[in-house]
Amino acid sequence: MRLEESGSQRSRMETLDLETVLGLARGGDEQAMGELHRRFARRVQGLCRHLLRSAESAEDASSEVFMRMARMFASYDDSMPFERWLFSIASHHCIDLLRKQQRERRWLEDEDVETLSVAIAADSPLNELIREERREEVREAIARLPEKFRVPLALRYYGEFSYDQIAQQLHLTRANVATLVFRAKQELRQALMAHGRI
Amino acid sequence: MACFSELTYAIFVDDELPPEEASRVRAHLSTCHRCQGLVAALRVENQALAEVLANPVTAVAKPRFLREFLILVAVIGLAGAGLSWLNGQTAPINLNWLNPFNGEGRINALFNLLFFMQRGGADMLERWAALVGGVCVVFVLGGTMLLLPRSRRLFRAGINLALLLLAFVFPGHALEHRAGSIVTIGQTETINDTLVIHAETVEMDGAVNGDLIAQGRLVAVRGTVKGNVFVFAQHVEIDGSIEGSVVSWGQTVTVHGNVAHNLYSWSQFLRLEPSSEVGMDMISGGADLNLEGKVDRSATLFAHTTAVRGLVGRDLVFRGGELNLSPPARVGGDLVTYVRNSSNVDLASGVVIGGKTETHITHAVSRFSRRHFYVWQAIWLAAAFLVGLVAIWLVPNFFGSVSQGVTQGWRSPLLGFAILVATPIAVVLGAITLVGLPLAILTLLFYGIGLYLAKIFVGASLGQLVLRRNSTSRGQQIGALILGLVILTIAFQIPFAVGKVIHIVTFCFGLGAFAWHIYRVWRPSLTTQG
Repeated sequence: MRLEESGSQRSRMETLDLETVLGLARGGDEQAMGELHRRFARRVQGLCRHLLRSAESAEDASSEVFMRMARMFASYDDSMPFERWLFSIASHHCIDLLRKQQRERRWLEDEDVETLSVAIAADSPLNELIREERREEVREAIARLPEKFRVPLALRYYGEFSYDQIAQQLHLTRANVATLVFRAKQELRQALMAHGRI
Repeated sequence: MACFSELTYAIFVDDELPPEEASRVRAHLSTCHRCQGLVAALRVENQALAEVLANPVTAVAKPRFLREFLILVAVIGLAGAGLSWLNGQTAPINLNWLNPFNGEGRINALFNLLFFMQRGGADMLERWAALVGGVCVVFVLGGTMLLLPRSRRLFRAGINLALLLLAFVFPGHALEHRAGSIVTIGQTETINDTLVIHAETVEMDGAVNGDLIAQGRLVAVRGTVKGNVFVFAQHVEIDGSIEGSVVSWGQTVTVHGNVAHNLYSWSQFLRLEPSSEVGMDMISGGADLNLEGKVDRSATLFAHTTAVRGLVGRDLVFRGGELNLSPPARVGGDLVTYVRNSSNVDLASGVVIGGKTETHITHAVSRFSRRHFYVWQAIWLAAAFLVGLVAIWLVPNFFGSVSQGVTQGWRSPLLGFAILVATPIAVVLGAITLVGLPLAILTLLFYGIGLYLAKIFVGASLGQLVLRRNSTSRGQQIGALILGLVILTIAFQIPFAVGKVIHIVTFCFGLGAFAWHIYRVWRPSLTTQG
């Protein structure tokens, strides 16, 4: 009996628009919280996976993100879209995790960006591979990028964060972020070209 | 106007240039075709990146991963089949040195035990039906364990199903179980099934038509057992008549009665009384062995001190500290001993040896001073490298993610430790509790393969760690593998047990990552159902 009830409540929840669900969640409705999880878990998990590079840590991170979301819900106002807000919790959490791992302490190397103009975007192997429906190879190459490139890249093109937001999260300057995103793409092109050769 | 740098265009395409610079870029673009092309390409690239990143990884990666896993299973299966075929071949005597199964006596004992398991398993063919049930139980239990950390609901459902299956499977085994502080089977009592006893004191005076499996502080078997006897007890007394074999672990094991087949024992003190008789072979290890009874075939003994006054029908092989033979001892075949000093073998006058007497002196020479030590290390290294190479070539994704998984958190080593410890226990239990010897042997085989691969995965991971990079190309992966394997090979040889500890830690890390990734391959389909 109770099961049916909760089932029908859930299906009712699914039909509501995001505003209403958020309103209910703000009122402490657990069903609404569950609905938010149902709607955004996949996206959040995707971001975590790109940042942490491992599916299992991404799952753990994602559940932690939703727990934090529940705790911090009171602080959410409508000044930014909900997904953006959730993403910033997720990226903060993942970046913390990466920092703790201390695999790559330095986010920046002193290499001059302009000297590395080996791969020019005009004939990017990336576009070619995408045209050839070989997305899988691109995805693998992204996952294999060093952390300092992978993280800004994922934050920019999956999380759709601005340079300023990324800079704030990684404690870098805006110029650093611009350079890292640019370098990340160069590295990716190079990796894909090398891959193509082998 | 001069063209802007590619970096500037990249920032421009990301809509991150300050407005005044952006308008200058726009002005330049209206005149420069080359830069227009570059900006267009950058935009396409950004879109492509967003598109690639937006799709979840596993949805696409899974089939490929699964395919690789299946290839891996097929290769392991083929290799296993090949090895077993090879094992079945008899090599000409002068090629015997090529046979890796023709090792030292120590290892022989292990193989003899395995051989016993196979032989003892003949009468278990009738129990194939039960075996199928057992396999199901193991699969369900295994699946449940895998689901354990993920979904509590599924876990509970799995446990219920497993218990249900267990309840159905075990009665089919014709198993009778008794427990208590003292369990006595009276002289007039006959048990037609296999009897399992778990008690502090076990007194078995009656008759058991199946096997007897007993565990306790004192286990005395004075009646008749038609099948085999497995005893694990502090004190074991075998006074009755056993028509199968006896496998016993205990502090003291005393045999007065008759064992029609073999006697395998591992105990601190073993005593074969003058009245005792073992119908076939005896393999025994312990601190102090006293053999006054009769062994119809060969006796293989590993002990600190051994006194023989009884009869051995065929060969007597001894390895250990001191061996003392005094009349009326008689050995029908050869007397082969492996001792530190020839004076450790004491052959009193009046002792009859039917065949020749061979005394091998074992030297405690440092293994580093032997040439074949280095040869074997090189062979091990080359073999591991080749296996790793084949893996990189055949299943690059699987190999890559397992070796990456080695260094990801504590899950791998903990899981690996659990597997390392639990598998041998499960194998012994499987072999004893009739759920299925074939299954136990198969598990042992997979365990061995897992242990071997574990070192290779850890080697690859270690190499990458040392090179401080995530290798993208095959060449780098191979380089990392060989570097890691060399480091491991040297580390395993560090004296004062350090090398052994490293070995065990390596097993834990590698096995854990391996098992976890096999689980990862299966899990997506499980979670979508749950």
